Amino acid sequence: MLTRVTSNHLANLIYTHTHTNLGRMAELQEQAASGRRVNSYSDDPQAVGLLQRYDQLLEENGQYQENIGRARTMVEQTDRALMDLIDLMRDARDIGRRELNATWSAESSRIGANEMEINIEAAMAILNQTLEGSHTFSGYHTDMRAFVRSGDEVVYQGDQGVMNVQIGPNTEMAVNIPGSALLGSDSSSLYGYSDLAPRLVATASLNDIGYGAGWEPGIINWIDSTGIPLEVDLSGSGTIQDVIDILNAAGLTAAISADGTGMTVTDPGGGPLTISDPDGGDTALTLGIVGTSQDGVVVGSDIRLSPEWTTNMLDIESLVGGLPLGSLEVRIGEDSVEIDLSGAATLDDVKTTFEATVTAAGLPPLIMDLSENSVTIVSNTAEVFEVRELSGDDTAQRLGLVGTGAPHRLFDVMIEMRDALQSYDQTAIKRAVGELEAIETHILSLSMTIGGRENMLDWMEGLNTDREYNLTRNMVDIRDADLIQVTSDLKQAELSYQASLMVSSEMLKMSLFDYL
Amino acid sequence: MSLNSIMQIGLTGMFSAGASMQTSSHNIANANTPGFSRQRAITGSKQGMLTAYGVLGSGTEVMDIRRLTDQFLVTHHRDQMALMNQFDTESMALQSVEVIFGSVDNNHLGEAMTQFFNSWSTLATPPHNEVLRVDVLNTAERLALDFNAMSRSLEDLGNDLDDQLAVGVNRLNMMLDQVAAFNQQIVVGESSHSAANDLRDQRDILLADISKMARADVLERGDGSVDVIISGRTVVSRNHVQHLEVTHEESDELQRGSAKITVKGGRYDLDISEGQLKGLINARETQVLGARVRLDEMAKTLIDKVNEIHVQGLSDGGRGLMFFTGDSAATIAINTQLVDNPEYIATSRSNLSGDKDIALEIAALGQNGTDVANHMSMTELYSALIVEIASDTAASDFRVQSQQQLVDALDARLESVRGVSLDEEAANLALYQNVYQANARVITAVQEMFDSVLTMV
Repeated sequence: MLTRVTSNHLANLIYTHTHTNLGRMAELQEQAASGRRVNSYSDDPQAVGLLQRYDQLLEENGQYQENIGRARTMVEQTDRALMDLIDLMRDARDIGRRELNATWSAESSRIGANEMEINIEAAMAILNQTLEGSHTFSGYHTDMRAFVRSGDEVVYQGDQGVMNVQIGPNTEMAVNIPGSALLGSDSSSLYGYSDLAPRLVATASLNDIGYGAGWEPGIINWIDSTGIPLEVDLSGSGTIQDVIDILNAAGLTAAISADGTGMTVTDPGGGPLTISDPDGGDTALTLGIVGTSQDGVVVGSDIRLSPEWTTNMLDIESLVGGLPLGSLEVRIGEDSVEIDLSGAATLDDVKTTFEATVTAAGLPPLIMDLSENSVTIVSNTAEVFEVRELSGDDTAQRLGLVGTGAPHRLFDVMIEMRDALQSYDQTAIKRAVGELEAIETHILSLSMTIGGRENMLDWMEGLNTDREYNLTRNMVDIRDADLIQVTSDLKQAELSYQASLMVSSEMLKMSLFDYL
Repeated sequence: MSLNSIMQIGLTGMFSAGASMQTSSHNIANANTPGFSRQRAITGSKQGMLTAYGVLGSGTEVMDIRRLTDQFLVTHHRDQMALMNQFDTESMALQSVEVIFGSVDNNHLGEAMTQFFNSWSTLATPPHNEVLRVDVLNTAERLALDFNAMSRSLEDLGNDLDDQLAVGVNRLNMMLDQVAAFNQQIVVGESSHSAANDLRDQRDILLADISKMARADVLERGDGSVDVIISGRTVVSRNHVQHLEVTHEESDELQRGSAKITVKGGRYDLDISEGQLKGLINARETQVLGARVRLDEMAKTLIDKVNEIHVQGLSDGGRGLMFFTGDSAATIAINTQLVDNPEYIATSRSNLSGDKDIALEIAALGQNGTDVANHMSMTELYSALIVEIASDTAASDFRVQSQQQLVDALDARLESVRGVSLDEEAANLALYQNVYQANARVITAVQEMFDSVLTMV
């Protein structure tokens, strides 16, 4: 407590307090004008530490979003390419099947071969696509085409490089599929060539052939030796035997062919015989009996059911005379094992015995699978394996497994298909169709991987958006001023300032001199 | 008793009242003079005349014109002002450093660093576009230029502080000269046993100003002169002065070497304990230089880490080159070979166009969680530096405010003792006027008495 209060002291107090008030008002005014509570670093060092961190995290988040955007174009283009490739594989298989089912002619072979050549070029174009100048299927060699072709030789000149993109904190994702993966560089396959489809039996359900369950037979037309167009309604028939009975009743002679692959329809009048479907129908085609025969005997195409693991080997035509099976040899590198299949009655017995024996021998696991009408053996490594015949034992040959298991032969098999179509080598066409199906399955699995990556990108983008929102909200909470509070405080400070000015001016005015 | 004696007494009263009124008038006139101490005319009764019936009073006399002050408060105030000026100088320097590093909305170096690392991340992200190498060079250039500019700004700030130090020491020397001159005048003025009040006030102001520059101890001698002692060295003794000067140690790479204040021609450094000069030295040696050292460390870490990764790569130019040249914030620059040949930027160890492992590793240097140094990434290291500067500045501001409150309190107490109260002086003036008039009435009465006597004649 001061005992003497001088006018200078009062003046000093006014200076101090008005400066304090003005300083407070300036601070609030800066907050109101900038909308920020923290402008200079020293306004709130603790908050600055957090703001710096949030700012960096937001910048990182923004970069992740940019990375996702760039990666998405790559992933989507890869996905489209794989889907196009799958379409090509299906198209190629369809060509093969069509030619297998059709009556051979040099012209149809030439057309089929040409179609395959076009498919090969299309596959080359798909796999050599670029995005912003980068070849997407070349692994790390993005500056060079993935596949080059010289005559019938197609060489992959990329590598197995997988490009990773950081799409979130501690989250990286591969965005490319190197061409080597398309070629199955991570696995080896041996595509069987023996037709293991069981013989067609009279009790076979029509729902198991052709279009499968839900298909209903209808009317078929024929013109026999009488020259009169006739028709018969097969609707209501459920089995092959039903069809045979109806056709026989209609005056034709129908039966299952001797090799058990399909049906034979004979004109008792000696022909010629033409069988067809009415417009919009598909019954004759599905039953494999569309065609014309001058001698009155239409030999139907292959309508056998696909083999299943439960298929009894006695029902498989190609194994007739070779049962019981004997042994075969599997060799991987320097190691080999003999596999005794003599106890196998079904295909499942063959599979179980084969896989168990290989594993028991300490060799890398081999998996037996069914593809089309053949057996396929797949290894989970790129190491080449070999299936051999044993001396005096044709088991491997009968199962169609003599050969070498190697990575997928995407272009080779298409070229072989083209050549097989050209020469109408049915065995080679069948083998190629089977191999193409396996390749298609492989590409489909890669496509699913890419689809998963697209989902991952969507998910991470959403996560990053949430993170951005949360970080921004935290940042705003710390950095931004509460404008309502600031406005209120500013008004209060203004009132305080006015009051202090008013009181000060009144006090300074007073002097004893006025009263003396 | 004689009428003359009575009239003489009235005259002493009028003279005494006049002297008091003059002193009050002097006080009123200097009411706003900084450092002025109010004065009082100290009066006392004159020695009486011995008569047969006792001692008769002979009036009043002015015994002293006294300066009302409290030397303890003056000294304490002077010392606290020394600290106040030191803190204020340090705070101003730190605020300048803070401004150089930007603000929350203009975190230029932080943004440049983030953009640099992001450009590497973009370069590493497929689909790969080699044009993005130019973006890396652009962001790297912006980063390097910002480092250079900040280093130059800090260097300029250090040089400004150097200049202020030299100017401050010159001003201090001038004030020491003035104190010596006042010493001489006061000794002469007080040789007649009367205090040279106004000279003392002016000397006190000078001493306070000296202490603002460098805390000084003041020792008053019997003759009224003072000795001024700074850091144990007597720099003013009566009218003798020892001038000070600024010297620098050997220059280093960053700036002129450490600044020292010495007695001119002397061998010993003066370790200034408090005051503006101490603040300038601290700001220069600790805050500005400290910030430059931290900035240089950061630039060197960036250069070393980026180069360490980049040279592991391969490019069209062969083995990866040093990406940055230089070893400090002042010297950091992009390797000119890369500027001329962006294709020489190594993005991978294999130089395969799709392989970007080097780019990813460089990008990771800026990402949270990467341990570049002290378990922090480059951007986190920079944030830590910003927080340190912010904390230092805020702490310094707080210290200034606290010290200001202490000084304000001392100011108020000092003003209470020595300040001029106009109301008080007005009351005194009325009192002295009454006294003066009363004494005049005494003389009038004596005159009437004389007249009465004369009419008797």
